[in-house]
This record gives sequence, C-alpha cells and structure tokens, in this order.
Amino acid sequence: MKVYLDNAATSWPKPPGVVEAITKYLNEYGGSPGRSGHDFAIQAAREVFETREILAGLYHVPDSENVIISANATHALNFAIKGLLEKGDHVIISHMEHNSVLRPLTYLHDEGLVRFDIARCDEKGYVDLEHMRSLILPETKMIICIHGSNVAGTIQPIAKIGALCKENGILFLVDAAQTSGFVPIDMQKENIDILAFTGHKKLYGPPGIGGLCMQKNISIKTLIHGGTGSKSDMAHHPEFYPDRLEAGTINTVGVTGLKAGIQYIQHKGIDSIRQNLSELTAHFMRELAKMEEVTIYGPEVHEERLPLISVNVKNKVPSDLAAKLDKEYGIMVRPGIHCSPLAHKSIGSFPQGTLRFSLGCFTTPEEVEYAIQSLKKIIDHENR
Amino acid sequence: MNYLLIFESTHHVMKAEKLLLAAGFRLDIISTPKEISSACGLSIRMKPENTDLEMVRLVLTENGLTFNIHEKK
Repeated sequence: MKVYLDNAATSWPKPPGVVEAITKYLNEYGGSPGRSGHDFAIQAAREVFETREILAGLYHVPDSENVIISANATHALNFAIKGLLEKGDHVIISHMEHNSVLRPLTYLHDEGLVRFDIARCDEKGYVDLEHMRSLILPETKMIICIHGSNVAGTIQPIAKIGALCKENGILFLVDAAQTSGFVPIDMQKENIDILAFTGHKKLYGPPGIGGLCMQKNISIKTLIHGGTGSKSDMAHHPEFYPDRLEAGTINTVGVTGLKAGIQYIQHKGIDSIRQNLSELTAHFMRELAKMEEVTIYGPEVHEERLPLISVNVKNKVPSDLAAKLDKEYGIMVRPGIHCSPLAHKSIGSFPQGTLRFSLGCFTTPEEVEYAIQSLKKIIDHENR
Repeated sequence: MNYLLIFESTHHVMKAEKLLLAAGFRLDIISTPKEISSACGLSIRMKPENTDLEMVRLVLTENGLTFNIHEKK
C-alpha cells in the first residue's frame, strides 16, 4: 500500500482534468502565448488570459493584468521583496516565515540595504499582533506574513494584520502558498497589497507554476528583463503588467494545468473541500492525541488549521520515523524543519524538527486510519 | 478595408476580444502589420460592414482599455 501524506510539499494525485488540460495543450495547440498571431499562439494566450481572470476572481484582485505568472511562490516573493524594497527600508515579518521570505530579507540585510524585525509568535504559531505593532518604525515599508504555516498548520488573522498595515501606511505582502485554494482570500477586505501563491499545492496544478497578485498602485521593479512579445522594437523592458514581470516564455503547460486545478476545486466547492479535510484532520489529531508518546504542535483540534499535523514522538528522531513509515509501510511524509527554522523555533521543535503528515482533497479516511495504525505499530514495537 | 485595433499588451488584446465577443461583435486576431507598428504585438481586426465603431469604443473604454484604431486596406 502506498499512502501519500506529503500534500503540503506538493499535492498528489492531481485531478484528472489537470492531466487532460496539460496533455491537450501539448498535443493540440502548444503555441507560445503572445508571441505570434497564429491560431495556436492565440489559443494559448486565451488560456493564459482566462487563468489570470480566474485567479483574479479567486483572490479579489481588482484587474487580471495584475496577476503575474511565476514559477512558484518563492519566485513571486522574491519579485515583491527585491522589487519593492529600497535602501534604508525596514520590514517586519512573523516568526513563522518560510525561508522563501527569511532568506531574501537576510540577503538584503547582509548587502546593507534593509533592516527587518521578527514579530513573536506563540507556541501554537499565532503572531503576537501587539508585538508586531510595537516593531513599526517610521521607515517600515512592508509587513510580510505567511497566511498558513507549513509547519504548524496555523492560520494567521491576516485581516487584522492588513488593518494594522492600512492604519500605518505599510505595504502588506502575504505568502499564501499553503492557504490558496483552502482558505478563502479577499485582497480587498483583508487589505492585502501583494499576494504570493503557488499552483501545485491546494490549487492542484502541476509543480513549477505560481504567481503574484497585486493591487493597482504597486510598482515592482523587475529583476528579469527580456522578451515579452510586446514593444519588441524597444530596448527598454515594458513598464506595464503583466509583461513587466514576465520576461521570457512563461510556463504555459503549468498555466493550463493550474486553470484546470482551480476549476476542479471550484466545482467541488472550496468550502466543502475544507470541511471534509478539516474533519479528517481533526479525527487524525484526536487519534494521535491518544498516544501518550506523541506531541502534536500547532492549534488545538477545535481551532481552525490547515490539513496538516506536525508531531514528535518521545525519544524518536523525525527523520527515522519518516524512513520507517516509508520503507516499511509505504507512507510518505516529510520530516525535518520544512525550510522553516523560524517556525520550528516558535513552536519549540528546533533543531530536531517534526514529522509532518499533510492531507489533500484525495486523502481517504482509510489512508488516515492506516497512517494512525502504522505509527501506533512503530511506537508499540519500539517500546517492547 | 479593415479596422485594426491596437493595444498596449497581449493581455489587453485578450480582454478586448472577450468583451467584444460578449457584446456580439465579430473579429479576429492577427499579428500587428509592420506598417502600423514594429512592436510585434497582436491586434484585433474587424470588418467595417458589421462594426459600429462608436459601440466598440464605448465597450472598450467603459472597461478601462486604451487603444488606437487604424484603417488598413
């Protein structure tokens, strides 16, 4: 039996429509969008356009030209961080951030360009809003916050952080890699200026596709200049979006798959997917809580969380447990620090990390039961 | 003679296409001819006999699109 419980890394399997859309593009009309006026190129450009429109609707972006296609959330975050911050700027992040935020900022800091402070989080992973507020300086340009923690499953109160940013005239950048497609996001109501997402997790697209959504007045300097299919007679890179941030051929294969993935979850209903997955996750947590050797991190079972559970087992190393689950039981999970040392420090699991089980919309109750029983067997066996 | 609608970006061409088709217009998309622009972009081509230019202008400007209209033999 093979059980895939690493959906927070990348979701698997993908909906049949995703595979069909990708195959259809490659087999039937694989042109380069915006690069020619022929039939295949126009069909491809329409797919890209429709995908931007769907994404704009999903996150409440005011105009679909402000939906930028990138390779993943990391690239999108780098575009926003390096393209907006200038020498002397100050930034505040949460203590749950992924390396996709911590590392670009550390780089800019080491280059002597920006300073940043980290707002405390409690052991469940919730950011301390008063501490965050106290860190605001006159030169604070941006607050960056991960919407849903890939480590603890914590969902941050982004509307409150958005309000704090608005009140203080600070840009709000949200990393929605884990929440896109799972938690509804409204950039207008939640005062989000810039949102980075990835397509291959809870939007069920293929790996290698993600993007950046922004409000109308955001002016991001591009890091990459080149061909856009527009203004081709000019040596200067175009200023208008999306071309401004999309030099080079975009991942049209990924776009077609992403579009089908979003259509799949919208057809099933994001709320209904969330409800089913939350019930399954809660059941998983309650069963794990019965094992006295197991420590569960993050929000309590009755609180909102992502469909992932980080645990530690007394006197066991997460990587050993993951290897045993994989080799002896066919259960695929991710151990370690999940590219998020800050988050593990917040919840008290640094440096050993945790063992993370993460569910997707195709995870069945039987698979969860099997994972529970398998972990139980490993623990019982080793305690004998 | 045809009308050619020239936009700033491919995205705007796609948006205009969607809006104009929804409004019942007939059109096709071509590579912008060199004599109009050497920018290599796409344009929307419409036949004068079934195109009310004032309506086209209205639909597009109402939706925030900027464009130029050329007449091409």
